[in-house]
Amino acid sequence: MTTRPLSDDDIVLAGEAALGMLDRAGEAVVASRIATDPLFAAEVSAWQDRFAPMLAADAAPPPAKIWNDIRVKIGTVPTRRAANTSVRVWQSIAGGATAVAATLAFMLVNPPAPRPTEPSPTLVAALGSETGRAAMTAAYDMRRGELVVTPVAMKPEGRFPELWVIDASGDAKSLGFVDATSATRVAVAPAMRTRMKIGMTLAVTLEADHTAPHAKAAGPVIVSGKIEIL
Amino acid sequence: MINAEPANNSAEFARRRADDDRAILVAALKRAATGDKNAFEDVYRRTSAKLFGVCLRIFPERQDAEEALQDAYLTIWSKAATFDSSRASPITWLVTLTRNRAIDRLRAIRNRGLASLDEAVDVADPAPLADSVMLADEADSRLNYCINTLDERDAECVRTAFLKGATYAELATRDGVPLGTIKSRVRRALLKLRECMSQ
Repeated sequence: MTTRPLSDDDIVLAGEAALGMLDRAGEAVVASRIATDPLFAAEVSAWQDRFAPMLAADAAPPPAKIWNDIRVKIGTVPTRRAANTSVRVWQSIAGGATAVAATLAFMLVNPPAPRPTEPSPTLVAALGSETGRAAMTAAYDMRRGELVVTPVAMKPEGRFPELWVIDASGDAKSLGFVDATSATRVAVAPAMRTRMKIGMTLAVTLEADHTAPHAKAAGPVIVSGKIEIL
Repeated sequence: MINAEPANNSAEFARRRADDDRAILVAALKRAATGDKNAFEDVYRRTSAKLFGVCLRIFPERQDAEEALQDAYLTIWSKAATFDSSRASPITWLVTLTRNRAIDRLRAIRNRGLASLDEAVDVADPAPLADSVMLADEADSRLNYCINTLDERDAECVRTAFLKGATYAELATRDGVPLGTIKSRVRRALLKLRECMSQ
């Protein structure tokens, strides 16, 4: 295990991450640091522990209807027809976009049943940089497991753009290399398809070699963005 | 052997109970991650009062807090597999996830222009801790102690960021100061807090 102490900048970055004060690009940087640097990952967790007591409040039993609604949404309560259920689930969502996204994420992770007549859902991501100078779009066909990434503005500066999918815990997996100037079709390996869902982050790093996809990112994150539903 | 010191005995009892609660919760979360809905219900029964308290702390309106709680549990259900018991305690993971979802919702409300940071309720005085089994009150009093050693404006930035999801830009606008000033306050506060809390 490494004993290199964290710098003040690292400590502040980890604290900002736990406070949720970073922008999207900052979050992607943190996600890749968490994936590659156990000491930094531990520092982010430590900040979450340090701040958690601020949320300490009197315990308050929620009304019973909350659990009843959750049960319906996760499918504990049997319903007559799946198709009707989704409509009702949508109509019953009183909350904002986050609730919708959470439900969607759930539905996509746990599709109710294969219904081949329906069009395949497409997931999208808009990847941007902190400076706004680089951008990329991504569209993922869930049925085919095919991802199309299109650079809008990207200067690889002699290095090779590598695409990553990063989960909420910061675990990054390479999806291979992409072209910096034209659209690239990426066939997502079956084992990786469970990662292609709402809320996951796509990011591109610039790597020095492109002989094979890397286990860990070494280069800087140039663009990143969260996966959303079209 | 009979323990002659009742104070130690009860502290030991509380600690063991907390360890048991934690182990049970870890096991339930792991089963929920495999799609076990009964295990997920168990997680809900054990933690919903705690997490509803968290939502009520972030949202003054009960209706908002209820929606935030439901949103949090749907996320917990879909993300249970990402919980790593070697990295975080289950209750910290649940509280952090609930807080993050609630803050997303709060920010969305602010971005729609329905509320501003100025309307946020006073966050200066954290509520006292009720159930010390779920979050160690030792940690709570240490955080309070350390926050009180900070410059009041620095401390307020950290509290408002954590409890209201305030961004650097929002804090700068609210206080009418340059972004760099807020960044310096947060940086100073974080470094002092960490030093104080690791003592």
